[in-house]
Amino acid sequence: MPVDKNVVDPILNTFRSMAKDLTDKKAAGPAYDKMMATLARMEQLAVELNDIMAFNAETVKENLYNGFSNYYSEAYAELSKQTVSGGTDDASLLAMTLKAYEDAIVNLKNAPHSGKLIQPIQELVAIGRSGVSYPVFLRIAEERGLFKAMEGTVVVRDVLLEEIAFAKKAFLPLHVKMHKEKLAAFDELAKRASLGIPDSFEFGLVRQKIEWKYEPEILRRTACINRWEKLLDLVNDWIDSYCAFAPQDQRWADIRGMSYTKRNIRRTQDCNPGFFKIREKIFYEYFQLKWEDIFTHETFINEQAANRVYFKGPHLDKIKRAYPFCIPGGKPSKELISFAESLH
Amino acid sequence: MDQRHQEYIDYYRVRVKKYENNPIYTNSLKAEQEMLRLISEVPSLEDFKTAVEKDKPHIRCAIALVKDQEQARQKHFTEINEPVRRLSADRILAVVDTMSSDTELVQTVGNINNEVNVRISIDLLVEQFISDLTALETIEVWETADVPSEWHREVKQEWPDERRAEYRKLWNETILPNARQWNPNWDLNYDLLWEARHRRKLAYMSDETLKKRIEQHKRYRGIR
Repeated sequence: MPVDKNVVDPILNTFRSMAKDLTDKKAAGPAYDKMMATLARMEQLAVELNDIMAFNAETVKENLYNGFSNYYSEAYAELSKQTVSGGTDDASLLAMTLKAYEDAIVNLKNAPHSGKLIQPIQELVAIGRSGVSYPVFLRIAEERGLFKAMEGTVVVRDVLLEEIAFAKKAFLPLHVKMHKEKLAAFDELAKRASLGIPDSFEFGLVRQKIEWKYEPEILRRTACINRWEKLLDLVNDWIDSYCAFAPQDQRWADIRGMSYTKRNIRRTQDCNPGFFKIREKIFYEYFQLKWEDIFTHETFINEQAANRVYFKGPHLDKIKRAYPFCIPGGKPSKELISFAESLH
Repeated sequence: MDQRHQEYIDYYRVRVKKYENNPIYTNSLKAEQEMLRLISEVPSLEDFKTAVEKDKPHIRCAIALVKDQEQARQKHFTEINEPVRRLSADRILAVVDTMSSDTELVQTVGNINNEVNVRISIDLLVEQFISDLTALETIEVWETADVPSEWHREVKQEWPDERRAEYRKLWNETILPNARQWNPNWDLNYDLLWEARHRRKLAYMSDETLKKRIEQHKRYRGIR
């Protein structure tokens, strides 16, 4: 069975439209032929393989995406030489360059940050159309940092600010710290750079190093939250299983009938304290945190502020009050059960 | 010297400036200085064109740029202890001086990056283990919890057996075939988890616990 068209078409459509563009422009020659053969191989794999993962693995292994791009560039360069003026003199090179930039402006119109991305290209086109020679055009572009701006460096700072704002909004403190560090590094490189635009390659390495530094801490944090959530769930289910509403609650409902539902309830009552103790041990093993540490831990306070802790106010209070009873063989007090029922 | 010639000299002078005072671009700076020297010394642009066709200084500039960036990448991946990711820089640097055209250079760099990206994808397959950690903990909870004997059979035997059987099916029918699309001989090599690039992602876990989890994972897959 072929790969799902809804999944593979968005990938192949990019290559199909690039190929169509060159075909429409009457491109020809060995590079064009190889590009079309590469696309044909991608189309063949989309039909022969079963799923997108297999498709992706094979296309990457056979180097098809990269190969297509290489042949496309070669074929495009060949076509540009033929269509602009048939030569490689300065005027032709300038015309060819400006044509490529004008095409880029059209293509970038709907891209995010298009205004800032398009602006330096428009500036370049204006310089090119002002009657200057090709070397003067190139020199001015270098001097004004327009080639660097075209690499997208001009929007990097905006993107970093957006990342900080998003991470703040999403209550992701480590991400906020990490993105701020990237912004500071960017500004530092900008200070040293001529024209105030950092080298995009150099910033790429700096950014990667900062992300690498934060990765273990981010993973640790996610793992920690995930583990205390499980602890809260276990105690919550345990106390609720004693409540009068339990037989009607989805958590224990069994389609085989009430006797099975009641058995499920009894199992929670009997087993959750034992499960909880092992999870509590694992939690301590990983994070050196005890039950009572959870509620003052920075991750908990932050998740509460983010409104991501399911249990709030009296519901959280119920869990905290149930904890001392949640031991193997233990049972909650009548008072606690009534309190839990009152919250339902 | 005609005006166009002077305009080209001015342009190449700006290119040299671009690489000044940045320790990453030492090769590029030299290559661009060489280009500037050449165009400044030739009597005319025609002579420059002949010299470029003969000596290909523009290819040397392109090679120098690739060399600078790959040396920086090599240093970067060495510093952060990522030997698999460093492979592309190692391989590119080993061949970059033999490149004779910009097309060859671009294609060679692209092909090496693609090959190494496959290696990186294969290396990351070991992190399936990390995705399975919560399941391993759940089974440990079931098997070791202090629960009344009435529930032992269900909780300590049936649930873990069912979960392991489900995973074995998933492993054999999905995870392994998917991984083998990248490498037909792939198998989960637990030793990789101890290598810094993967181990750091489990920094919250002691060595002793990691050893235990690896044994649990082998049982989960049904190979122990």
